Amino acid sequence: MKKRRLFRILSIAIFLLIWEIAALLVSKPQIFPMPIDVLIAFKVLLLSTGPAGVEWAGELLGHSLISLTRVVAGFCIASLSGILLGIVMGWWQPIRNLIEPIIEILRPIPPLAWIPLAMLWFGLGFKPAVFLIWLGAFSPILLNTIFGVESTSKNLIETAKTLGAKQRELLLKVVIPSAIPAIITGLSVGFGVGWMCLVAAELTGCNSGLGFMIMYYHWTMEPAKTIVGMLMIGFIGLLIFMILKRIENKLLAWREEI
Amino acid sequence: MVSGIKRAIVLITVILLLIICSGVHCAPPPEGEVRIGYLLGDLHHLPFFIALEKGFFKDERINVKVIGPFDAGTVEMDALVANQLDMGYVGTPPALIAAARKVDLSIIAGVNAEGSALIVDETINNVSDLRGKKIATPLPGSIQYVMLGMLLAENNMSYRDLEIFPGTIKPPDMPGVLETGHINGYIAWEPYPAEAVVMGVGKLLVESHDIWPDHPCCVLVTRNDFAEENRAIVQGVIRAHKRAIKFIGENPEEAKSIAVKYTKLNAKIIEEALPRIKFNYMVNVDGTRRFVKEIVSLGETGVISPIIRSEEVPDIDIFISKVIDLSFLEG
Amino acid sequence: MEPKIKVAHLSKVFSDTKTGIDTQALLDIDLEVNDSELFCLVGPSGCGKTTFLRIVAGLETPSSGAVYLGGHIVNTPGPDRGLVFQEFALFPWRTVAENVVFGPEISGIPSSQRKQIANKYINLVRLAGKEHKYPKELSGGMKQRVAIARALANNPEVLLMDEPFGSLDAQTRNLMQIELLRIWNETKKTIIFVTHIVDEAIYLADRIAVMSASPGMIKEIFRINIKRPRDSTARSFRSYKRKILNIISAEVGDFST
Repeated sequence: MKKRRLFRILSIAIFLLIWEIAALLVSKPQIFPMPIDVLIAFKVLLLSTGPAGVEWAGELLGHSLISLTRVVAGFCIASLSGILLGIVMGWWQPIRNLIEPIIEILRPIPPLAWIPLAMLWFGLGFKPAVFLIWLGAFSPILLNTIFGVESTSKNLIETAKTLGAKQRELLLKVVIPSAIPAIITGLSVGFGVGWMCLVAAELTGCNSGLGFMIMYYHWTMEPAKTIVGMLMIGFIGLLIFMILKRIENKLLAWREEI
Repeated sequence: MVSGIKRAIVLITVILLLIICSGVHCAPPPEGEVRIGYLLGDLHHLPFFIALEKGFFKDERINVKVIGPFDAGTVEMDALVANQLDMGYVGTPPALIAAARKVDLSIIAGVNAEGSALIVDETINNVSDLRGKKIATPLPGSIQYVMLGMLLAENNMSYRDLEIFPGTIKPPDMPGVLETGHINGYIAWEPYPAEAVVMGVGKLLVESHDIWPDHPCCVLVTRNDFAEENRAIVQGVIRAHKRAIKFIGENPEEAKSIAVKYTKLNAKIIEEALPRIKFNYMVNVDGTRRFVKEIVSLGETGVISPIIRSEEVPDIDIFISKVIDLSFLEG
Repeated sequence: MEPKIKVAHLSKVFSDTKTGIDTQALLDIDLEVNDSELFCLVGPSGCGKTTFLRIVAGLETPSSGAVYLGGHIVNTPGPDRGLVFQEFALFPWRTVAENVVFGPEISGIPSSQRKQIANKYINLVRLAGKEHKYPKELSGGMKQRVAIARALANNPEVLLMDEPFGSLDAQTRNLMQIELLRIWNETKKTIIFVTHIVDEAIYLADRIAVMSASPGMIKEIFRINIKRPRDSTARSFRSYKRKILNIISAEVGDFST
């Protein structure tokens, strides 16, 4: 345990060292800032006035909060739609055959490509950003739900039938509970993907959020602040992942250890 | 075990350093060749397209490698810093921002003055109607943003009287967004005002010429180290540039068709936009100085988050005299 | 007296759609199981005994012939024929008590009554105190007892068991055989028990049907006239075993134990 911690600290220290040396050698601070510049930028962004509505939180935390609300909103819509549609598609093969081709075609399209349409349909700011987050989070949730429904053990279904279960009870009392681990995995992955879509999502005429902040400081040639934004996205993503894992373990305490 | 890890760490470190450093240092181009950058769909860079099309660079025995197009001025400046470019057609603000960040470049010629406009929808008929409306602008560091402030000040208003979308909608998207009604107007550089007029989605309220006559717009910049070692090439480029500007005045029809070819815009839009652009190889030194002062002051008074800090340019006059180098023009 | 279960001319053919080959899994099975009888079906692996049981349970349909329960044809699954699998098939997200009351829950029995039912059958299989445990916390033998309690909680007409102790080690299996006899004594349920282990069948059964493979047919039916508890070393026991094994090996050509 202690050794693992030591290795983690060591690898971060080495990473910083490489960064420092490389930045010194390259010597172009306008595009490759030094670690210390990033640290200073971090302090500045913590203390400066936040964006409209969250001025008190400072720029960095204010943008983070705004991004979080967008991602949570998109994620909630994706969860509802993904789980419902996933159960329907997993349970009724004809519906799956009908809808699946459409989803398979749309899935590989990156959220970035949807920006013009998103702005056309939803306007500027919150709504198109939430739409793009939804686009990212929807697929993993849907696919994992379908998988969970489909991989319900045949034995369990037959057992339930011999205990008197008809179609409705099979769906509600066997299939859905059996699919919950896969659904939760899907939710975890979906949130992660949605979070990663932030930068693209906030190009839809938003004037706040971490994604917006990163692009903004890119355009004003302040790469240290851009890097702070990127690191913040990484940290928050990691934090949320860890929280979701905790929740997952609590909810699925009944799962057999494999 | 420990020495094995140590060795692995050193090896990985060295490899990573090599990769990072080599990526940022490009080999210099061979003799007589120059890499010039330009911006996407930017009608202001017409002299560059004409010089290329009519072979003016070839006449100076210069081999031009066209780099781009870039979709933002500061991205083009990033490429300049990374030695991917030697010279570039770019807006004045990105060039100044880069110079303020201590990038070693010089503005050596003008490309155009003016060539921007404020477009509005049917709900706005004069400047005071702007109150409470949604207006999109390029980034707060842009000349258009500053000009809007000037226009508002002249009419006893300020940015706070409007709902401004600064930098959140890219100018190419502005006509489309105006059509959907999510904004009431925008200020941008040509051809985007012309596009709205030709498409019938908006009308021209004010030309930039009427807000700030002769205001600087696009310029020609060069890396100082490149210019030092290749003075002859740089001067050749400027000669071709001057010739191209002359050509536009003398051959407007052909200039238009070359514009269509290089910007891929439709001819009607170009016809609408060109009269508002003043192509001029002279650098508006006073205008540039005024712009720097405005930008720094906007940052200091907290209207925008600082784009150029006064600490970066403690003496604006010295800054201007360092960044603008007119010696190549005279050559 | 009317037999509890009557199987008449039951045949089952499986058609492989890919190769077009038809397999005759069961051929013309006729048998009767009486009320409260512990009836065993024994035979080599692959002889169709599982298919037979699944048809009685209603999970498969016969190609010809029929199964009658108390005079009525049965061809769909239902709580009147409880089924216990070899793989336990407990619902892992439900506690022991929740598993046991699954059937009553579906038939709409109110929760206070369900609690009583759970207690009754959990006590019957001697798992008192384990009501709130999840299947993952139970041993194999305990899991199977939950499965039995769950099937019995619906008060089925007959209990169908398909190699239920196959996943257990030898000691646990022996204990479970004793447990099963005790539960059978207390509930007086009709049981059809399928196994490929001859010793197990002789230990448990009132009557044993010996099946052969390809196609699956009933070769002979033995009545085991030994008083319980039965001693597997006794001469009478070994004599039955010899007879049964002879029939099986004559079909298969090797011994199966």
